Amino acid sequence: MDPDGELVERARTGDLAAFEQLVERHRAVVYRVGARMVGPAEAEDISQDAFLRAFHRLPSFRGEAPFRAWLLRITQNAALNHQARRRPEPTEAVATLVEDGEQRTPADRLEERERRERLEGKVRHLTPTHRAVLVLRDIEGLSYNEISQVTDMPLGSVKGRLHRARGELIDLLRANTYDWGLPE
Amino acid sequence: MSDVGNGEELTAAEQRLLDYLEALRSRPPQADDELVTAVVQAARWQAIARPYLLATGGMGAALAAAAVALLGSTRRT
Repeated sequence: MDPDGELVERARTGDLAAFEQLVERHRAVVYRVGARMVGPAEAEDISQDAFLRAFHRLPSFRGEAPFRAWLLRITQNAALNHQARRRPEPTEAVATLVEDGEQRTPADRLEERERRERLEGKVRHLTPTHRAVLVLRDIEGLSYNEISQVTDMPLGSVKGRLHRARGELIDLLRANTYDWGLPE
Repeated sequence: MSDVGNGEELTAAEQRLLDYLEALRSRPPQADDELVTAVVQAARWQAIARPYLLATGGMGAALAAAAVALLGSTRRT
């Protein structure tokens, strides 16, 4: 049973209050996936684009997969379309991240931040299909089943692609001048 | 705690990679509170404008088809 089923049914008939609740419920994951796929600077545009596409396509939503998976598929496509239209980003892109209040020295914090930003940049340099499964599984923690619904791939293909995606990212990190200390 | 990697046979490099990615998971980029308002406002005006835009597009297509048909018949005569 899709937990969004009732809201989706109402939103399909043009109920904007129901649609607003769907946006509120899923905005965090849609924004995160957009940011992980193409970078935080464009995540807001991608999120808006994805939600509005979903709004207009609701009449054709058949409920074969849960609404969240369907929405994330639209988000993934919006992110990839967005990226295809813009110039390539610099290799070492700077990302805005939420700071926490842990007690560490400024040097530690700076190093950790730099490492995270480098890693985010490397993730965004993965091939699009590899990036999608790696973001959805290894960063967002979706189940294989849900990733299969989002990407419209059989379960076995998802697992195979994830394995290759991790391999591609490891190769990218090993080729980097920064020492990631990855075992052979 | 995430179940990513649990129950999977991972190489040492993959395990290290997942440790690094955990750092990204624990600091997610966060959406602005304005996002919901912006999306709903855009959906509202698009819902109002859409029928008119579709009608205008349909009328344009019909005019173009009529012009092509007219031009075709003129050329034949």
